[in-house]
Order: sequence, then C-alpha cells, then structure tokens
Amino acid sequence: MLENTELALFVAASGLYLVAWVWHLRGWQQGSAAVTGAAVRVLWAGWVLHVGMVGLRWYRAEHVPMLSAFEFVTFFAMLVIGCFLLFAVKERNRMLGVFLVPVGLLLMLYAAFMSKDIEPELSIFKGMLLQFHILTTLLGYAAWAVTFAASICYLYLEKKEDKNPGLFDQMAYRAAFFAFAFLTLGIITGALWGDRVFGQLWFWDPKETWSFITWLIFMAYLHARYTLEWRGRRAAILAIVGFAALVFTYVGVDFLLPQIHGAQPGM
Amino acid sequence: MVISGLKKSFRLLASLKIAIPLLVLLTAVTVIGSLFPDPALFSSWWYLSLLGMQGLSLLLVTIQHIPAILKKKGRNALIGVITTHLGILVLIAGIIYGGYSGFRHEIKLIEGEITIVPGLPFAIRLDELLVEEYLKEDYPRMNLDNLPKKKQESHLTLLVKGKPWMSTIAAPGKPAVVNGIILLPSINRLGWYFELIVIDGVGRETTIPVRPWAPPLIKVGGKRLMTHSLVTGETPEAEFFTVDDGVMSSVGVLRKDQPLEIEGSRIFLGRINRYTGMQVYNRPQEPILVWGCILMFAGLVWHFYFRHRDRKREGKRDA
Repeated sequence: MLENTELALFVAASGLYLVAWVWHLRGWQQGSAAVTGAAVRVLWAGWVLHVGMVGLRWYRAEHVPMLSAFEFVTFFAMLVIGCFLLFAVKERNRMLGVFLVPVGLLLMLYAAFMSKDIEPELSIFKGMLLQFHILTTLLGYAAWAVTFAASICYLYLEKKEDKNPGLFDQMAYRAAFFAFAFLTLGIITGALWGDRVFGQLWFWDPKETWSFITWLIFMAYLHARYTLEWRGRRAAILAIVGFAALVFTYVGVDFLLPQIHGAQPGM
Repeated sequence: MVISGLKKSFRLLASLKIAIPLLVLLTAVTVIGSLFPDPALFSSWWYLSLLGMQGLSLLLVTIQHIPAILKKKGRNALIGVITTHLGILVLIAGIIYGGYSGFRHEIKLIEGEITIVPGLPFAIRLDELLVEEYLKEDYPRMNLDNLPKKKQESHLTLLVKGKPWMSTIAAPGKPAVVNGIILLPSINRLGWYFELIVIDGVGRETTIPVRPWAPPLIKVGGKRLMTHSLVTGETPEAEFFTVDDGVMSSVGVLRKDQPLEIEGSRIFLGRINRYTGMQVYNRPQEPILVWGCILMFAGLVWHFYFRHRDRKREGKRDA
C-alpha cells in the first residue's frame, strides 16, 4: 500500500515537473508572465508531492532517504527543483526554469530506471557524518546546477542582445559561491567518514579524484571572476565546463571508471 | 645578484600569471591520472611537486596581496579571501606534516591472543570478535561477500606490563581511540584462525597453527601440503592441497568430525578462533587539518557576507 503510494507520488511529481517545464517553455516563447507564473505553481504542486514521496520513503526505510541510488537521485532532484523555487520567488528570475527544471526532470527519469527496493542501512552508513557528507555534496551539486542554468540563460540573452543578461551572470556567481562552499564541506566530511571506516582520508578513487577535479574547476571559476575579471560569456562557458565535470563525477565515473565509492551506481 | 634572482623568482611565483596556469595544469594532470586504474601516479614526486608548487604559489600570492588589501576600502570582504587561502595553506601544511609524522601498523588480532605492537605503550588482546552477517533477503541483488558485516565488534583488553589496563570496543566506523592512538578493525580482513593436530604413523603429535594470511607448508610423510582457509558452515572444513611441482592440487577435505588420512598420518582440526585485521595509527596532523577547514570555511562565509553587503551599499554588482 505505502509502496504504491510512494510510486504514485513519484510518477505524479515527475508528471507535474514535465507539465511545468512545457509551460515554462511556452511562457518563455510567448513572453507571458502569466503562463510562467502558472508553470511555477504547477512546479510547486509537483515539488510538494516530491517532498511527500521522500518523506514517505524516509518513514518506510527507517533511515535518511539518501543511501540507495534511487533515494540519492530523487533527493538530488528535490534539491534542484527546490533551489529553482527559491529563485522563482522573484518573477524576473523565472526564465531560469527553462533550463533548470529539465535538470530535475532528467534526474527523475534516471531514477525511474533504478531499483526502488528498500534495503536495510549498512552498519557502516549509520551516523551523522555520512549523512552530512551526502547532504552537503548534493547541496553543492544543486547550487552548481543553478550556476549552469543561469549561465545558459545569460548566453541566450546575450545572443538575443537582451538589455539585461547581467542578472543571470550575477545569479550564476552567487550560486557558484554556495556550490563551492558546500562541495568543500562535502569533500571534507567524506574524507573524515572514510577515515573512520577505512582508516584513510583519501584513496584517489575515481569518484574522489573527479570530485577534486570538479572542486578545482569551481575554484578556477571563482578565481577567474575575481582575479581575471572574467564576466559574462567566458565565465558562463567555464560554468558549463564545471557542470559537465559534475555530471561526469556523478554519472560518468560509475559507468566508465572502476571505483569503490558508493554501494551502487549513481551515488 | 642572488637577491635579485630570488626577488624575480618571488615575483614570478607570486603572480597570477603563474598561479592560474598551475591550477589548469593541476586539473589537467588529475584528469589524466584518473583514467589510470593505479592511483600510484598521485603519490609520484612530480605530482606532489605540482601540488607543492600550487601551495607555494598560493602562499606567495597571499603574502604579496596582504598589505594592499589591508589598505583597501571594503577590506572586510578581502580579509575573508585571505582567511580562506590561509585555510587552504594550513590544510596543505597539515597534509605534508601528516606524510612525515605519526605511525601506522597493520596487524592481525586472533581471539584470545595478545599482540604486541612495536612502539605502542600497551599490548592488545582480542577477547571476542562478534560478527553478524547480513541475510540474502536483506540484499537480494548484492553479493554478500562484497558487503561489510551487519555487526563486527572487536572487544579488546589493553594491557600494560602484562596486566589489564582498560577494555574497549572497536568497530568499522567506530574506532577505539586511546590516548590519541586509533584502533580501527578492517572491514574485509577477517576470517578464521585454526590449528591442525597431526599424528604421524608412530603416534607423535604435532600442533600446527594456520594463519590464513601466512599459511604454513606442512610436511606429511613425503608430501608437502598446504591449507589456507577454513570454511565454516554447519561443520567447519578445510581443504588440503599438494604444492609439489609448483602446481596446487586438492588431496582432500578435513572436517571437524572427520580427520584426514594422508600417507599414514592423521590430521585433526584443533582450536578454531576468529581473527581480524586492524589498523593501529595516530594522526598528529588532525588539529592542523581541523583548523585549516575552519579557517577556509569561515573565510568563505565572511567574504560572501561582506562582499555582498559592501557592494549593495555601493550600488554595484558582485564580481
């Protein structure tokens, strides 16, 4: 019964995200604030169902729902959409949804193909440190997804010779700052957890190495803006490179490089 | 001449023209390194040198900019930048210090036996090793051999001058920490230690301990035998192999209730106990790493807050 409810919530949330994205596209094409506003409301509805699904999963699994690949991906999608809704409070930011909502939608699609079985929490996964590691890393990833979407918005508006693409350039920078801070915390707490379980802070496992590479790119982005005064186009391209590195760290490494990190692909 | 050369080197290393390409080079090398399955590349001298150069460049850039920053308007935000960079430097220093200090031993503990670790102020006795496995229905899609145990508790007594000093429990994820010394059981190095009792044709009895991580060669009659692991089920059993001509071939299975007869000698299974691998180490660099992290994160938060506030006051945009 609860399992079916969870699945229904998952499907309903994904469906509403899809509808919201289509409306975002329409609102964007027509330049209609009313349609975009409706899209945001639909997205809110989807997100509430999504949060309900995650909560139900938590109740059923009796552990924080971030440990299996399915839980991890759906939690990440929830944070991405949540980040957008935070920005969408201001009407002028809502174009971001055109590029950010599909990130959440793709994550839900990815999760749809994963096993939804609940497995007991491994004894070594118990404790706050690992949960803090996963949460901060996911917050860092979600914040960089905002940087990515804002950079695409910037590039598009710049091409259209829009008056104010700088708004998205600013948004990209601010989100990048949070992404860097959270990813830093995520890497440090992950290393500390590894030390408590395996007796070693760092293994140079491909997942760790690529997290480090992604962190270096985030750092390069902030330095390029700060010291080399990169703005607009160049910064946006670097942000997209950072997002590509993030996607590779998150998905590519699982399928292309042998590793010990995470119990299943997608973690 | 020498001073002028040093000044030039300082200026070069303290310049962003060097720091940024170094960062790009470090990223590129790390990407290439990740494609190789062996992470030995990351401990090679040239990779560590590259990391060291990056750290040095960071240090010099920071030093060079401190006086100018302190004079600048809106320095609050820049103090955050300096603090973050100092944090990274402290972290690098901690990592380097950790590489040259402290100790690490990988030992095996057998239930009921005392192990002496060189340099440690106490000996370690493993009183009991409690192990509970996951069931197949818990993880139907996983190979249970690859999973950590559901419960893996090493009950330890530490002895000083042969007398019990304190008792503690260590488990993966929950190491025992005694006066800064960490005792961490290994997740995958655990199994069974056992003894063989060999009675030869004239009734002489010999007890042979079998440590699976260093299995002994046993001479029985004219044969050289080896057994390396004990399979525990309802009846514990150990398979024996000959190792003549460099080829291992099975000669039989010894069971708890069924001795093995080879060339007139009978082999019985004696004492059986669990063993676990354990890492015994310390981390003198830990406080340095913790302070590095605190400085780095505090600097980031500080910078973001003041930068945002100052720019808002000035009516300007962020970087």
